[in-house]
Amino acid sequence: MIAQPMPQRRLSKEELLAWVERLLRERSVIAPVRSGERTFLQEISAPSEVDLEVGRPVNSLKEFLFPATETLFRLRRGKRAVRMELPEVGRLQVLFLVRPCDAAALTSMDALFLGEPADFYWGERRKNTALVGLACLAVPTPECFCTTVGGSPIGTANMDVILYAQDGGYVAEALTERGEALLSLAGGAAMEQPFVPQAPELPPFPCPPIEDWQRVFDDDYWQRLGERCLGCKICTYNCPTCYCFDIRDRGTGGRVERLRAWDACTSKHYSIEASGHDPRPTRGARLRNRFCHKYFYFPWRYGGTLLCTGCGRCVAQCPVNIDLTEVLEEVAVRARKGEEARQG
Amino acid sequence: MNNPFWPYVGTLTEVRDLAVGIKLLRVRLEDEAGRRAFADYRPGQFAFLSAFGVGEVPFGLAGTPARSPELEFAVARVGTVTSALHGLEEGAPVGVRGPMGNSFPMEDFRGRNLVIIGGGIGFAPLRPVIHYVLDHRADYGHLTILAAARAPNLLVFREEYDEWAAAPDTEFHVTVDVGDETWTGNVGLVTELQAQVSPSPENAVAITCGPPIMIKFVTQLLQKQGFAPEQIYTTLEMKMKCGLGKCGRCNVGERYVCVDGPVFSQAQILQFIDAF
Repeated sequence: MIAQPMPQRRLSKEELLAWVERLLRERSVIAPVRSGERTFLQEISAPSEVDLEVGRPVNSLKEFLFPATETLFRLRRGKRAVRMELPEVGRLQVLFLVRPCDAAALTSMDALFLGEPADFYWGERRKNTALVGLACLAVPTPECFCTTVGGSPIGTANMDVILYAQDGGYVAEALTERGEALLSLAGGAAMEQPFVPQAPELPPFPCPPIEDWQRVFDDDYWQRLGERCLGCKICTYNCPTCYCFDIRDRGTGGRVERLRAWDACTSKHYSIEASGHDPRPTRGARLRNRFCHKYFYFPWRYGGTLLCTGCGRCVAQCPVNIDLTEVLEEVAVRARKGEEARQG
Repeated sequence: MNNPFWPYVGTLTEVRDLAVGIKLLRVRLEDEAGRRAFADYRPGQFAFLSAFGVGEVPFGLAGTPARSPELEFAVARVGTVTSALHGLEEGAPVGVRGPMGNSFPMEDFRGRNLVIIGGGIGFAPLRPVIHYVLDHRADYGHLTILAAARAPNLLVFREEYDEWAAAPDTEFHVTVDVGDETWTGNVGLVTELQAQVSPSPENAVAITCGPPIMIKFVTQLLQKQGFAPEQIYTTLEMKMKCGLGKCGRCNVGERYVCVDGPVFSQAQILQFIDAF
């Protein structure tokens, strides 16, 4: 937070891209890049690569702070001794044109990774990563539901700079000292009248509270939903807050490394034990675990923080149309029915 | 650098057979930080043991710091990492992360009679409780130990049975599901032995560990024998990767076995939303 808000700046498209050019000289820039009909967040080497018309990229910003696979340490092994070394972690980077839902994901990820004992790798990347956000002045996709999970299309959580697309250009506002430093590299002119953003309206529907998830825990709905699930895991990989991970060693002979890689609780191999026992042996049980983790287990442990930002990727990308917004409504309805039946 | 994924380096100082497919691995920690971390670990805590290049898995610590400055792990060969650990020789470097998890509330157990019921490799995390009680004998009441396994060659720590049987105010019983030509002791399920011994719930706490099916029936019988859910403790296992409450794997409902457990009372387990 900054004591005296810096005046907003107006940037033309050309000035915005010139700013990216300057940012690129001192740090890595991750930005939306169009590839055919889809847009992905990826590292760029020139401003011309940036997709300024980005709605919601296919992937989330997660992989730039928590890579799909990363080396925890390398190790040289002798017969009697080992030498371990840490890889370089945490280059300077800016995540550019990040939507508020993706930026909001860092709140839950910080709660997890920076909570005791703090995760060294997340911590190093996080402190060296700046976020330049892009507000949603219009609802970018039909699957968006950020307001249901406590977000806002014009939310600024975890951003250093926010951009508002306006009159063919941008209004830029620094939100942190780091943001001020970044924005000082941009041209443009100071705004005389501050731009006051209006949040677009999203269809209002509530997120079921923890008690509802407890009430429907043994409902046969989960098994029925599980019959549709293919276990493909796309909902977890592109989710900005799905963080479950695996740890494995790789290497032969004297040189090995310990890796951390994304995992998915919707995977058959996630919880099965060496004995063959599987505490969550059906797709229904695994789906229930994923949903309960997001809206029940995580907020139970982290003071109400949900593990969902309403980005809608899982809704858009599920190959069998398992729609999270439908699940939320169904849980609320079933919890209410169950409660009515219980009270007679 | 504070990095909970960075293991302490240790050296295997002893590898010996405990039972068929089960080895005792003894580890000397090589650096000061590791020795400090494990200076006063408690009965019921666990640690990750690495076979470098293959992986790491969690084990209940099978010893106590009072009896040995070296760490003891009872390792059953069931998967890739445990097979690799079985293949290591004395002198080999290993990695250790921990100690992790809660522990048996030994202070709360003071002045009470203890009933220890362990099956197979599940006896290993109960051994530190026995050692602790015997080393603080005056602090605890009567100690009843029931050891069990499917067969005689699957019983662990048999060389300590005589010490336990001879300890003051201690009774020791052992049974196997199926005997062999050398076996002259009890034959039958642990619950049959438990019915015979009929431990009194009066001022007592029961601690059990073993395969889930054993824990289930031992707990049922304990309750029939008058033990309240608050008087029954067990230590749970789930597949784990981090041991820090981060990797998301070992949850039973909203609880993580790694940081909220592994020790739970039956009263707590009855509150779990998900069946264990």
